[in-house]
Amino acid sequence: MILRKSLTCLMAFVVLIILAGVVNPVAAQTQKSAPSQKQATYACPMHPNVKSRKPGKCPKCGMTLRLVSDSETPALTEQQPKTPEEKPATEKLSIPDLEVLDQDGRKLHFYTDLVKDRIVAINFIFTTCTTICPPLTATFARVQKDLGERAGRDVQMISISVDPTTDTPERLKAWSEKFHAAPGWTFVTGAKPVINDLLRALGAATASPQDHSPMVLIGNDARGEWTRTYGLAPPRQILQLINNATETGSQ
Amino acid sequence: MRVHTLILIVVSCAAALCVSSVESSSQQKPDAAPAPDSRPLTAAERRGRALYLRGETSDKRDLTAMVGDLEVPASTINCAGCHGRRGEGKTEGGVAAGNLTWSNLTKPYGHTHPNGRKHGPFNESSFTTAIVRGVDPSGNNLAVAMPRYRMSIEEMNDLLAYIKRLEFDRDPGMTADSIDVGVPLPTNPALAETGQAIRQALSAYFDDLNTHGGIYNRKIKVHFTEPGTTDLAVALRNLTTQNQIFAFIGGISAGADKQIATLARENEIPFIGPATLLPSVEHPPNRYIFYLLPGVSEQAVALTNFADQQLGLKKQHAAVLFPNTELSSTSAEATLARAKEIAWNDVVKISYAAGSFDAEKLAQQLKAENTAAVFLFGSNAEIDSFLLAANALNWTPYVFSLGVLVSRDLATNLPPAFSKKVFLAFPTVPADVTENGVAEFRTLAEKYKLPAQHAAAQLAALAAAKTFVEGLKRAGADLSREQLVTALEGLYEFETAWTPKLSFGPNRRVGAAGAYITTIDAETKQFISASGWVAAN
Repeated sequence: MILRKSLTCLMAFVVLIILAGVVNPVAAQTQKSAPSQKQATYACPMHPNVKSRKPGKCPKCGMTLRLVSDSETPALTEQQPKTPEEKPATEKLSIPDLEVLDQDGRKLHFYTDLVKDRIVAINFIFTTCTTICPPLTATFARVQKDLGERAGRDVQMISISVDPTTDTPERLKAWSEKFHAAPGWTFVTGAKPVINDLLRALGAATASPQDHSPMVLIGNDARGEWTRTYGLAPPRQILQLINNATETGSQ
Repeated sequence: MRVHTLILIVVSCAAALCVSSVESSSQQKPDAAPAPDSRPLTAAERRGRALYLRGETSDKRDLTAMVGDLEVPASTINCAGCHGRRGEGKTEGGVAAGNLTWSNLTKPYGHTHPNGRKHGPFNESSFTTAIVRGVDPSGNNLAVAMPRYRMSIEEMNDLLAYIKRLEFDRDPGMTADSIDVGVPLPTNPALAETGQAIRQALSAYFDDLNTHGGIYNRKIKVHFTEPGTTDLAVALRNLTTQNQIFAFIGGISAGADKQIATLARENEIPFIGPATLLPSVEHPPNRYIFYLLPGVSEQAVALTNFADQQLGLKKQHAAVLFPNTELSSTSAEATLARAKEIAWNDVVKISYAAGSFDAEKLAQQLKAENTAAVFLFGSNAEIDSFLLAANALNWTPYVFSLGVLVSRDLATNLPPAFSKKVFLAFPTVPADVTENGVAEFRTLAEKYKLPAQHAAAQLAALAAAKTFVEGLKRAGADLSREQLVTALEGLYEFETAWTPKLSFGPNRRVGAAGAYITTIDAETKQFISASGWVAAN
């Protein structure tokens, strides 16, 4: 009897803990986001959930926090209504016109052949990666599918290898087929120094392929506006950013 | 409530089992890690292993993984990819995949993750919930990169069976104090003596290594294929069924290269240094095969590079002549492919039936075409007759071939006009055996009474053994085939002291990919060096 009673207590306690576990983060999120709706905040470019009222460094990666308003981190706040006036945090990038190879071994000039006057979405992968690259690529594949006819016609998708020494065009080709990549999605490799320069220009340089970040870079070259997001975010959020880039382009 | 009590019992039993196995092993060896459970995997565990490592079901169907709302084949997002082949977990790009070993999952005090997520210990039921619905035992969502998997109850039971076995599952052919290797000996009875020499040399090398403590306390046990078997691939398969084999090393694989490469790939058995002129190069590269010396392809490519880089012939007319035999046509195709890569465009391809080589006619034709470079992958007699015919026409183009195709007679009969105009590729030169290499081999030969004959075959086998041992050292004490393969792929300009320097990589399966280019001095009738090592890339 005593055992039974204490077990019931225990069960009730467990239910409480579970409830607390589920409810708490939601409560915390609303607390955080509600008052900040109209104020500008500083967020880490790589960890959008790291936010601060004042400038500083990200405690996770040490990057300098960037001035944003809440709506400018759509990856985390998709439930918030987006008003057309609020544009995502963008930056200017100078894209070098380096000679690279695509998955068919064709020589391309990165800027003129892939970026110039286009809406572009870029992610960073390597084919011997078994951890984050499959979900990153799967996410991109879904984005491409959802883009429908616009993929290739209006929007150029690019995956750049962060391990060009290993990633020959043949390996990239096999990788692209695994994820049923359609035309309009170019996999890029090339000479290591060239790809290093390219990654540096895009802010995606890494000392070791294993340390590369799951980042997606979305840009509108005509406007020279680029924005970064988390590559493992739900595909519709990435799609939304691509749509935003398209809209700003047509304005 | 009874269910919960049951789960508690299951969990505590599992925990007790783990604890008892750790205890029993620690009694045997106070300082050793838990002794790997050497019992063979059960059928369910084997099916679970295929699910874990490859996302592959017993009927070779691909499971479906759900990443968010995307359906992805589980073969591209399998458990081992993120959690490691041994379930140890790893971190990449800020995504941390946890330790999946059952003893860790069922820790009675549960888990606190770096991001603050906390939950209690897993049991079979909550493990299933996590895999299928993506929530932990406390109902929290798992990390965003963790897919959910659609699988049947049977498949889940298989997976669970293997997860419980995961931390004790070791590659075949290794224990805490031994590693079993297999060596293919030549099947051709004419090479029986060579095989015997290889056998003695490798037995001696590993005996010597074992008396010095082995590698991380593991002694190497060598198993040789039966000399009576005619098919080498069959002989190797027999060896793996009779013994647990961790890796294959050395030996002569010529004639069975494709079968051997397939055997290595399908069984995930590393094969280091099979000696052959036709390395089997697959796309995507077969990561279990490591050839030491160049085959005819690599040598032919090096020859082409030499003609371009050191003789500057790329802008001129060239002809590639070859009989329709495997060695010759492989060499010719490699030359033609390389010529295309480097934009040596004015190249004609002339093949002929073996034995029907018309030297005079070809010499006249090629002279008329103003040919500057002739790649002739024929027999020694054919090259000889071609040189005489060209000489008779007062025509002396550059002639390229492979050392393996010619004999010393070529130097003896060489017309003076062709002095230093005939270039031959060789995979090794005597100078590759360094002073230390000579001393090392001499010591071994004296200690173990190795035969004086077949020194080249012995050195090739020893070089393979040494490369394997280097891989073992770099892979570390916590050994697996994967780690050995990764360690070997990291070798850069490794000096065996008996071969050219060896470099491997994910795309580089031939350690010494290139050749030495030699020419003939008509005056002294000697082969002399035309260049040092020429790489085949």
